[in-house]
Amino acid sequence: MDLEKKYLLRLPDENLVMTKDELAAHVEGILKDHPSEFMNGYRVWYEGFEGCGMPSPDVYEVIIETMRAMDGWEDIGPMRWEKYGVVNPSFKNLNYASAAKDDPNGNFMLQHRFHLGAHYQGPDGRVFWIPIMEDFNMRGFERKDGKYVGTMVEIDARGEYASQMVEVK
Amino acid sequence: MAERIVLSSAERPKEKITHSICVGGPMTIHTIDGVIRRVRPVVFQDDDPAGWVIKARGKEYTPQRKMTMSLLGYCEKDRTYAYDRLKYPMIREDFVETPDGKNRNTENRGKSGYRRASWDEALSLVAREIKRLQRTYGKETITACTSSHHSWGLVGYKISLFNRFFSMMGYTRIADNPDSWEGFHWGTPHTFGYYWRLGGPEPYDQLEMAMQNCETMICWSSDPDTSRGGYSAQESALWRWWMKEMGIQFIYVDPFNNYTSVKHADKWIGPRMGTDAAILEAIAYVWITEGTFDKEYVAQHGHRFNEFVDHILGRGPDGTPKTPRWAEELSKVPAMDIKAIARRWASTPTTSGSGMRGGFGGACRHSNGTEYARLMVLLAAMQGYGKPGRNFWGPGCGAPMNYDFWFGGYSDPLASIAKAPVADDVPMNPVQQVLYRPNLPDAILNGHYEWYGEGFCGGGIDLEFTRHVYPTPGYNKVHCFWRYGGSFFGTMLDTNKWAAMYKSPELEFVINQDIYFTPETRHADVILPACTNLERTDIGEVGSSGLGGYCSHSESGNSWQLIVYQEKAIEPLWDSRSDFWIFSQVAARLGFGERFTEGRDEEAWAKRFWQFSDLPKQMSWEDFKKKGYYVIPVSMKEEDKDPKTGLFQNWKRYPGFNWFAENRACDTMNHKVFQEEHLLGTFSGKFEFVSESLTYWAPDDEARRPIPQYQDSWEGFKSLSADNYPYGLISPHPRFDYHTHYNQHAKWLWEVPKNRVLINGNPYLVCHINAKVAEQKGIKDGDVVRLFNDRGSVLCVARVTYRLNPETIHAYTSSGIYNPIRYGERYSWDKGGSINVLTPGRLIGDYVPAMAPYSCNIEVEKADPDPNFGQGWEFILDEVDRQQLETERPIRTSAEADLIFGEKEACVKALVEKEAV
Repeated sequence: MDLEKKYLLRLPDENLVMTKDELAAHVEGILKDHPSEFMNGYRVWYEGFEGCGMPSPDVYEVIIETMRAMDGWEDIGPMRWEKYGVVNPSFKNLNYASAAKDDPNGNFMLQHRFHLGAHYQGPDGRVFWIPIMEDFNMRGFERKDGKYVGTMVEIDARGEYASQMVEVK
Repeated sequence: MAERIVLSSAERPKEKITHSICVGGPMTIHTIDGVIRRVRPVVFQDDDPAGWVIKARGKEYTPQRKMTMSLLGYCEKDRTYAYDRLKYPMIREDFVETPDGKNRNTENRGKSGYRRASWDEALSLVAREIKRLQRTYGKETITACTSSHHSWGLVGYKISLFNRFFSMMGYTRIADNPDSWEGFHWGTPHTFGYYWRLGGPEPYDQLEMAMQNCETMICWSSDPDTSRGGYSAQESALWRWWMKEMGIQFIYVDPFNNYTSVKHADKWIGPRMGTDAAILEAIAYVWITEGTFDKEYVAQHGHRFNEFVDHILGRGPDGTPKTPRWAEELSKVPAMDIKAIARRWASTPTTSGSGMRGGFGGACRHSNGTEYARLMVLLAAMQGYGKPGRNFWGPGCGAPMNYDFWFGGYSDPLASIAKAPVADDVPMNPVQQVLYRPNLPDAILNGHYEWYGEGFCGGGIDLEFTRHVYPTPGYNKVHCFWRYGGSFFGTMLDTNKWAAMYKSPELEFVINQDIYFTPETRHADVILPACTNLERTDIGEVGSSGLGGYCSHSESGNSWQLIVYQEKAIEPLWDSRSDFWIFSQVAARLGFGERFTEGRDEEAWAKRFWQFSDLPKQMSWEDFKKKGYYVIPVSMKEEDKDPKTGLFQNWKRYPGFNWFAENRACDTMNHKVFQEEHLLGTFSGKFEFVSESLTYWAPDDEARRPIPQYQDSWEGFKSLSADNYPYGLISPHPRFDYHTHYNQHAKWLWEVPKNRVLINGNPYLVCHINAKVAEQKGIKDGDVVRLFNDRGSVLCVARVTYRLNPETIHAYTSSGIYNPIRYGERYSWDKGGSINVLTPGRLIGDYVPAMAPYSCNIEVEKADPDPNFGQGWEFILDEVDRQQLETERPIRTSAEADLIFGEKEACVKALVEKEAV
């Protein structure tokens, strides 16, 4: 008699039954080289497995357990997601910078390189708030002594200057 | 014979030419001797950039070298000198400034007359009351709400000036609902994401894409000649003629054979109200049974399609196949017509859209509106949404545009004097309590209200499900209402309850700040007269070059992108003043005047918008002011021009949704991080035929099922109320008005026979009634009729027609005119045409806090016009004018009020010093 616990996954075209190890292996496969900076168990379920309905508690538990055990993913506790609201735990991809792969057609994954609404310091020491990023256009406002000075600055996201910009808090 | 005297150029009156913008497009204003003589479109000069050219099907298409104002723009002069302008500050004649806020004769609001006050008296009363109320109840005791679109300009618009003042003062915010596109806002994010576009699709470069690739255009619940793409000029009418000329077939689906449909439609289909979702399901049935949908696309990009198929074929829980015959019984659209649309849609490159921007349309303002909207998107997906010619778009937006040029667009969050970088001091409203606009009267009258959702939920799907309670624990109730611009009697629903709200003693103090004596103004204790756009300085943009239009690059029906210096054409008339001045004066009296203005006047604020944009690279501030406008070329490169014509043939193109169909990282504007991973904004990242987000957030939601589907309305042809009120009222956005801002004030609009009919001094709204129904009821064309139900009665003038089905009566919404025959009485018959006294206050569902004006049953009968002359309220303004002539007491002018408080002088001085530095 097989006493090993089985996990039922309801997918669009079939129901899959997996062992814990198989489920964990699937989760690892989904997360390997994942380009996003942040992840949670629901993203794994809906985007990775294309699961139907809410993940069952035991499946969700294995997903979280696997994410916690994986190298390169850090449990950052609760985080608000635009789709799911606050999810605890959420995870941060420690290999995020290297995971972003630009499209072979030349489309630049801009928001994988820069955070919209964040502040960045350029190699010349100037600090910019970047509230606009569209396609590969970035626009910043220079911040000095707590105020925005000068005019709007266009930053070439693929350029040398942008490559040396460092996010500052 | 009369002698002709030829004046020399020196003797001729000097003409001043300025520019401005309104919801009808940008305009040139000609002023002589301080009087506006005419308003004209902006016609470009030789040094303005060349236009674009679209090459399609062997021909070349380029727009005219001017902006084409809509008729609303031409009303601006009439609006400026309108008969119902507020000339002076006024105080309700029976208002008593009691120390505890009680016994103020609030029951007379809406009935009472007014007396003229000085600015000093009115502003000081406002300041005293605010201080008393805040001292008694806390900052949350004041609430305020503004109309959409009653003023234009980045300084003066509500998210800018209004937001700055009230955030600085602290108040209970009233969340707006997306009243023009409810079903899309609350529906389609659960189907294809785009909650950050408030449920709307990507319009980018869709005009060219459609002209080059599309063969069939389905305009569902769409009248683009009327709605024009939103706040824009009239250029998109030309685009549709181009498309028609090149042989694209237009199918219009609308219970009313609307103005664009009668011009363009190859086929008009007029379903019964609220049955659009059933027709869409039947179209899906035809495709599924005939195998004519894009199977590969759906397999790759669809989520849980098989369950949708089961539902459509009747293998789901309801066991009903959604056949064309089934839909015919509901909609009264012949099954053969439904099949014909389905086959045409599948067999030709078809672009479908709803409403003016693809993601609007009256059908989504029905109790079944979310399901209709979701099905529209899913059907586009079934035909390969994003492939050439197969898209989801409305032909009122999406012209070539320069996305590399940034200037803050209309309602852009960055283009606000309340936000960085324009403001140095960014105020944060300390009050967390919030109210919800459609239910404000319920909250005030009942003292308690609960709902889900944030109104506009562009910040995330999760925001649809936040729970709100009024009063918020720990907060006091609201006791003061500051109303700013426009009239919700015309735009909210079941609006007789707004009249009841105003009479409530719970509202101890009501302020109304407006340009005109609107129905809501007449319910205030204190009236602060503002001036029009043409009497103040501002800066603005049309075409949405930056973000703007409530969602990024919403675009509008313009062929050109234009930034306008809105120079003051004339001084504020009578004793009206700019909104900026009014807020500055109240702020000064409350002790934060300097913080509010930051030492800037309106022009200095306007300059900040120029500064924080791409414009300084093209034009100095002085040159910009001198010329009055800047045309943004579609490309900045000379080599992008066609050498033969000099028109731009190349520009950076980002066709909406192509990226998804072509399986590549998203390259369109305003994209999200996950779109770079080729995912949509749904949970699964695909088109969700069964919504995972609804299963997750609201599995018990009865209005939005996981599989979108037709449902009988709680007020429709099958509901109990249909026994007494058998006709469905269709009340689209108006052709001769914009919300409530034109029809009341520009009298010459009343001369349009399809708009209003002047009888005994009152402008009766026109309604359309099917000829067969009219015959049964003994109604002739031009008769006065009463439209009524349990909620109220409205007198209209009947136009008898075959342009709508017999089950439906058509009357435009958003009447700024509300004239109860018994003046000031709540249930009195309205002869002003405010048909939203008839529409239900009920929201679409427990989890869907959306208005549903299209779920409205009414009855019609022949009636007599009101024998009393006029609109019924003119005597109030006449009396105030008489006081002005007869009064002997000194009345301070606004300029004197300036001197008293020294605010303006201090600001100007500070500004001069700042500029010198």
